[in-house]
This record gives sequence, structure tokens and C-alpha cells, in this order.
Amino acid sequence: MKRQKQITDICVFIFLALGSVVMFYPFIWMIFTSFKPKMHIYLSGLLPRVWDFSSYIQIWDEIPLVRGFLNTILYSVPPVIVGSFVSAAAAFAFSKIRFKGRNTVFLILLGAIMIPFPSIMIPQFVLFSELKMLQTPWPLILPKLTGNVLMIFFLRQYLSYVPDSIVDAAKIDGCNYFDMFYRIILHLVTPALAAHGVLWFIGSWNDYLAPTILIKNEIWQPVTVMVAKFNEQYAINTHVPRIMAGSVMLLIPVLIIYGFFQKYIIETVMFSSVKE
Amino acid sequence: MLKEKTNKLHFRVLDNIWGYAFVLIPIIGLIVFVLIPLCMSVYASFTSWPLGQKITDAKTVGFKNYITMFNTPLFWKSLGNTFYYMLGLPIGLILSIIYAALMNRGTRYENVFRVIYYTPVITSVVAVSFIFQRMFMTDGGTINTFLMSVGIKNPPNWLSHPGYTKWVIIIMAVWKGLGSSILMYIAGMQGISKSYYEAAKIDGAGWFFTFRKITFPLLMPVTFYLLVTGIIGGAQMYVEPRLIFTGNGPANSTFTTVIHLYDNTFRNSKAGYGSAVAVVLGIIVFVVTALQFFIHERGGSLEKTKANN
Repeated sequence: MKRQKQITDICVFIFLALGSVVMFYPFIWMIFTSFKPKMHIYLSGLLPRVWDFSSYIQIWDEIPLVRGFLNTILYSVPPVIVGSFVSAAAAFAFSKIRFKGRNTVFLILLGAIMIPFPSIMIPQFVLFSELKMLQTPWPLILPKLTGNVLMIFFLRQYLSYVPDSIVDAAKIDGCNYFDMFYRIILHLVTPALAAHGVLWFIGSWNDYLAPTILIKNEIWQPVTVMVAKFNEQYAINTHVPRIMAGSVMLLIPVLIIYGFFQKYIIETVMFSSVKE
Repeated sequence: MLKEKTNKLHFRVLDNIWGYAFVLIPIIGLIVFVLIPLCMSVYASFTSWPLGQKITDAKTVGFKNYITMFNTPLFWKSLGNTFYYMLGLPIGLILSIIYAALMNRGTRYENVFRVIYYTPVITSVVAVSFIFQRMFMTDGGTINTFLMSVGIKNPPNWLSHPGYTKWVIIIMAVWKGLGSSILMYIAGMQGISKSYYEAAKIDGAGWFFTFRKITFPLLMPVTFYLLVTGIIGGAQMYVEPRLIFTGNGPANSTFTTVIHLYDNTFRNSKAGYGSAVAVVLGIIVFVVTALQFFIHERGGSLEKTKANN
């Protein structure tokens, strides 16, 4: 019986390892291809026969990558931090403060998830155009400041595991809701808040459709849009190594952040999934 | 006594004020960035509004945009393509339930695999689209080189044959989304009480029977959640076909409803028509989601009645 289990374990391991190759191969192929000279892409073999760094020099010369990264950071760090706190506060209210119409308001907010962004992107474009903001970074910042419905939903679920008696006890001690949120709840939700914040940050980092519509000033474009433009230009003459160098520039920062937070992220995604 | 009552009332009023104060900002966000734009989309869909003009100056034209849309073969083609891509959903669900079962056996290496399989989920769809485009090249692409090495003499022209183009995107979508649904299924599996399996074991049930009668039905909420979010996401497919294929793809085989919407609005300035497409897209997502909730509710109550009998 034990021997049989060992054999099964080994078989499963091999099966999962093969799958891992499929999951990771595109990234490895991307990295090695980006170091090949253009003419070598049709040669067999994963590794470059000559290490050629010209694609990277080209991309740094041709597009203002530093500016692009700074723009992306501007769109995905401060707004996500503010939005995360706003979401946490709302989740706290939806979970622990008994106010009139609480469930109705929550359901209306939740219903907004069902409205696809493409269905509202034209008026959003008009809205920001009327506010004369299309030449500024605001269209990618303002909507995030008001919080994230999915995050509210997950944090509310997380808080449902916190007993109401904590709130009642704090109330008896004369603690108002703001102090309660600031001193107690915020500490309790920190792990979930951090992980959802990182996931939101990554989503915002990878965003492409919204910036192509809402940012009309080239110097404010995030790095995704810059690289996509660079890559499309080289897709015409199939300069594969340059395209891959562009993709490397997009992926490496996110992969590093994922490397740091992977344990948190995996746990939170699993914990946040439907439990009922 | 009276004092206590006023105190209680006082607290209730305070609760209302505090409650709304805490949720005020998200509500404002919802109204300004979602609800008002939604109303504008609906209104604009009944006008001949050219982008760049003020929407208040636009002429109302009744259902003309909708009639034009329903008589535009390209619209139907885009809708067909969008739904075709959703074939990836059942494929992804079957694969992820298998992988989840294999990654939830209590062995030491599982966590490493979970991290590896989740990696594509967090990567940029822009970067990944370009990688897949190049890996699926007919000559010298990784996929066809591999297919030829295992003896397939004439591997498909993935990027130019309309019968294959959609599958490039489906394969990529499944690859990219797999890790996320695997984690959801693992979480679901960990929520299933061990006693069910012990009972099944005592009854001498085989693993497939156990899976079919216990694991799969108890994972229904997860499957349901993944289907709903998958359809909401799938209906918004835009970046992948836009970046992997130029224009509408060979013989219009890859472009989607959102690309149709985007091009009409932002390239041809037909914002009225684009809004009509936006409204139809929103309605489709809403109806499909509502339908799934309805089926799910009914399925749930059916099961309960069965259990009661």
C-alpha cells in the first residue's frame, strides 16, 4: 500500500512537472530569444548561439522607458494604496456597522461588477475630455481613488470571520467607529489588504485598454502602451528579438514583485474564493 | 429607562451616519464613473452622436443605430467570435479541476507547483500576446517546430488560416487563466469535509465514483463562480486579438465585439453606433449572468428537495 502511494506520488510529480514546463516555457523562450541576433531566430535551439544585446539598447534608445515606468508607478502605487484604504473602510462598514439600507447599498455596489468596462468607456472618455483631463494623468488615477468593489467584497468576507463582540466591546469602551477602524480593524485586515492591494497593483500595472483611450498625451503613457507600440512597429518586419526584449521589460518587474509576495498572494486568492 | 431608550436611538442615528460616511466614497465612485456613464451610453445609443461633438447637441434617431447594427454582418461576426472564444471556458475548467485534484494531495512540493501555475495569471497580457504570436509562427515558431519533431508533416498556419486563428487565442487564454481556477478549486476541495470521503471509502467506492458523486457536485459553487466571471471577462475580450492579429484577423476570424465597438467609436467617430454596441454588450453580460444565477438557484433548491426526501 505504501509502495503504491509512493509510485502514485512520483507519477503525479512528473505530470505536474511537465505541466510546469508548459507554463514556464513561453517566458524562458522570450528571455533567450531577446538575446538572439535577428537572423538567428529561424535556427534551431533555445539558447542563443551568439549573445546579442542590441535589442535592449534599441528599446532603451527608442522609447522613454524610464518615463513609462514612472508613469506606470504613478498610476498603480499611490491610487491603489488610497483605494485600498477606502475599500477597507467600506468593507468594515458593510460588515460591522448596522446602518439602514446596508444590504441594498452593498448589492448595488456588487452589481456594478457585472457592467463591463467597454460598455461605459465611451462616456468615461467624454467625461474626462469635458474635464480637460485627457492630456493629464488623472483619468487613470481618479477612478481608483474611490475604491475597488471586488476588494470591498473580499474584505467584507474576511471581516465576517471577526466576531461582532470585538466591535461591541470597543463601543462600550467609548471607542467611536473611526478609532475602531483605525486601531483594531486595520490591523486585523492587514494581510488580506496587502495581498489584494498587490493583486490590484499588478492588474493596474498590466492595464492596456483604459490607457489607450483615456491618455492622449504621449508623455503620460504607461509602459504597457509604449512597449505595445514599439512591438507592433517591429512586428511588421518580424524583428522577433526586439519584440521579445519589449515583452521582457514589461514582465520582469511584475515577476520580481510576484516572487516576493507569492506566498501571500496564493494564500489570499485561495482564502478569498467562494466558501459557501 | 427613558434615558436608555434615547441612548439607543442616539446610537442608531449615529450608526447610520457613520455607516454612510464609511461607504460614501465608493458610492460616489459608482455614481460618477459607472452609473452616469451607463446612462449616457444608453442615451447616446439613440442618437447620431459623432465623437468630438457635445452629446447634448446630438440628434436623436430612435432605434436607427440598433437596426443598423442588427443588419451589419460584421457585428454578428464579432459576436460569434466572442462566443466562440468561450469554448476555452469548459476546457480550462476540466483541466483545472484535474490539476487541482493533483495539487491537493498533501505532498510537500505542491506549494511550488501552485506558484508556478499561477505565474501566467499575473503577467501582462500585452507581453504574453506578443510571445504567443511569435511562438505560433508557421515557419520557425516553437509550436510548429515541436509538432514537426513529433512527426506532423504539415503543421497548421496558425496565424493566417481562419480555422486556426481563434485557437491561438483560446490556447493562450486557457494557459493564462489556468492557475487562477486551479487555486479556486483547491480552496473548494479543502472546504469539503473529510467524512464524506471516509464514508465513501467504507462503502468501497472507487475514486472516479467518489469524484463524480462527491467532489464534483460539492464544487458546483466554484464552477459556477468561475463560469460567471469567465463569461463576464470573455465578453470583454479585446487586447489579445488586437495585438496578436492585425485588423480583424484573416477573414475577420478573430475580431471581437469590443474591437467592433472601439473601431466604430474611436477610429470612425461613430459614437452613437458604438454606444448601441456597448449597450448590447452590457445586456448580454447581464442576461447571461442573471440566467446562470437563476439556473444555479433552481439547481440548488432541487438538490435540497432531493435531500429532504
